[in-house]
Amino acid sequence: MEKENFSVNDNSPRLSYAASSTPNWQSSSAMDVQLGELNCASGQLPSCFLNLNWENSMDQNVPFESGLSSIVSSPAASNAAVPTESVVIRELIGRLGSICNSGEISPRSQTLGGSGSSYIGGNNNSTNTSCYSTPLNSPPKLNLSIMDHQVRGNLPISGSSMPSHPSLAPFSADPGFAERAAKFSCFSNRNFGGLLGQFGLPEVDLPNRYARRAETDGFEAEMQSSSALERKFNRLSRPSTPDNVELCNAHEESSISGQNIGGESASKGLNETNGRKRKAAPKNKPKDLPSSPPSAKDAKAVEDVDSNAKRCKPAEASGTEKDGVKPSGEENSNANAGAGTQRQSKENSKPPEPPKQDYIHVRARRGQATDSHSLAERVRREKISERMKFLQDLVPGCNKVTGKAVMLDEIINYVQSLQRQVEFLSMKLATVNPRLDFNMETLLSKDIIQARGSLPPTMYPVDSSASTFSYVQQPQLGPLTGMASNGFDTQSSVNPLDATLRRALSMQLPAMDGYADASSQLTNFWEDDLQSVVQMGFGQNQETAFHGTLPTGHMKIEL
Amino acid sequence: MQASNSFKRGFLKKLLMGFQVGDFSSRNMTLLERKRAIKLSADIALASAREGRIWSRAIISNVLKEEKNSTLVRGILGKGFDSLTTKTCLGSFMYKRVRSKKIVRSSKVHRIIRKSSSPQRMVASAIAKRMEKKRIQKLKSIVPGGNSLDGLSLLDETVDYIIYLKAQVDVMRRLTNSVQCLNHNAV
Repeated sequence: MEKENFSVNDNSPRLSYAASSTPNWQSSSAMDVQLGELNCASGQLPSCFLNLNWENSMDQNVPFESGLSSIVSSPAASNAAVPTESVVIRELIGRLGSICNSGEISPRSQTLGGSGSSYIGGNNNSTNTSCYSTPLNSPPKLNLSIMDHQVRGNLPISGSSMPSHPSLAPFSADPGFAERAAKFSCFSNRNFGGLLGQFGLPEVDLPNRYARRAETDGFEAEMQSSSALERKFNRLSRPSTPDNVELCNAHEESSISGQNIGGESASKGLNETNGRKRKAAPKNKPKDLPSSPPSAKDAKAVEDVDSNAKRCKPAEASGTEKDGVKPSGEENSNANAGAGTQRQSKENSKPPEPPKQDYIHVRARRGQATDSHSLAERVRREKISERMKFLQDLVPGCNKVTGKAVMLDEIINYVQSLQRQVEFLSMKLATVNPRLDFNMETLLSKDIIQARGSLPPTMYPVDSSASTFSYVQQPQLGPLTGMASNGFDTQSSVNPLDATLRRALSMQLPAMDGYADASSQLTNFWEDDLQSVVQMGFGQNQETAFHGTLPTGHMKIEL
Repeated sequence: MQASNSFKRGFLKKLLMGFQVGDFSSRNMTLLERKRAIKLSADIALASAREGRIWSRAIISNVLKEEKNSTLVRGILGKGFDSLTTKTCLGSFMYKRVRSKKIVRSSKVHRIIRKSSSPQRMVASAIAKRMEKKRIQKLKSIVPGGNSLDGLSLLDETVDYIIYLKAQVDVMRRLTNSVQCLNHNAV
């Protein structure tokens, strides 16, 4: 029946269906008005035509809703819809297994052009894909676009492949499923008609809608699988069109009634869909896992589609926005659905974002204990060895040492030496400046004035911007200026004779040519450092202060 | 594996602040006294520049054990003094672990008996273990606040402590160098 409707297109079926079901028709007309608005908003001329299409699709659904029982009771009538159903089912399965089915995509290219039984014209295909993949796919991107691929791939095949899939057999006997699917697709895909009209390809509408229908069937099935899902979807679809709520409700009713009326067969079919979904996903998976290159290719293809979609987006901003709500809603509903659907959604969403691992993965080797205590102990030991490695890097001369005890010895020695160095340096500070008035600022500012004369002016901008530069300088200065001080630094013991020695060495130092320059650089470094210090407290004064024009008392107050 | 320059700068700032607060110039001090004061302010500066670690808290709580140091600590820490010191006091109590010596001794005896009955190899490994344990004990006594830590966190703290101790040494060396140069230039 569906097929007939689609093939005959806009004219006759609409009339007849309108006649057949009046109450629903009103709602659909309201929808039409909205659609017209939508189309106008997107700036499309052939909006009336689109409306017609839309009505048509709506109409098709209406009788399906009402006539569910009859169809279910008479399976012969639904024979025509068998391909659709198969498409639906295939689509569902494909969606579950969805992501890496390169096998299904490759046939698509062949069958699309060749088996032109009609659903999709070869040349229009590309435009179609871009068009209708946009609104639906934009948020969840990967999955749905893949879905499109699969749906399209499946469409032509569906008739022939039906018998070959024994698992699909029960579905063909379930007409209510297809109808519901079709109906759902109608109001979810409102905007697509507009898009197609924009492209000026009225003939393509049918196949497109068909494909769309098949695509949205997936949603439908999921919706039916849990009422919570449906509720959610209603809520989500409300913003887009208030009429949708009604329709959704009606549809809910219809689906429920369909299940009730259809009795065992329909409900069983539904259940089986879910079951099959679950079954189908793992079935697809192992097949796909070994063949990673095709999956990658597939992902690339999907990306291409997405890029197409993106390109199309600006053309129909309003439409996209409206439908953009839906896929996200679908995601949410998937996430919040029951256990079965959760698993599905997980399987769906796995490739885009692999599940996060917030646990530590411990693997016992052969012969190792696997109880939790020993595992925890092993983890602890691994952590400890990791820290030891850190320490090995930190402590010089520790990386040659083997054995934990020796390494700990080294570490202890190093820490002690560092501590002693601090002691020593503080002692030296005490001796260097016997009165301990650390008027560094005064001295430095004085010195900086001196240093500025000798130093090239380019040094200053560099230093003020990057303090690391001055730090880098230090090792170079070591041999020059550090002779007096660094020579003692390597000794770990406090040397009381330091002061005298230092004086003796510093007496020699002036003789060296580089000394003055080096000292100026050093002071330069200190200027930089102090500059930063001052910057912390007082951002503004530093410039003037360090150019030596200000009195020293001012600096003291600052620090 | 190095302390950042910003840390070094912060440390230097706090160190100089400590010198200011300590007001060493006014008092008549011996060399050792001065040295001790400098060391103290350097320690506090290091601890306050690297807040939130166990070793830094331990340093501050150790310093605060002597009442006369509190002004210095307060001067260096500034606003964060109250919150930090209360935390450190709590922490020092919390991390204290008291063990009965008797129990330890008795278990040791047991172990020795058991080990003596085991083959030579086991004895060797036991010796190695004991050596390691001794080193760990030593490390605990060296790293401030290490007494209350177990192996893993002790190593963590040690890594952190070494990094910042290095930074401290570095900055202080630069300070002495520059002061020396200045002195020389002044002379």
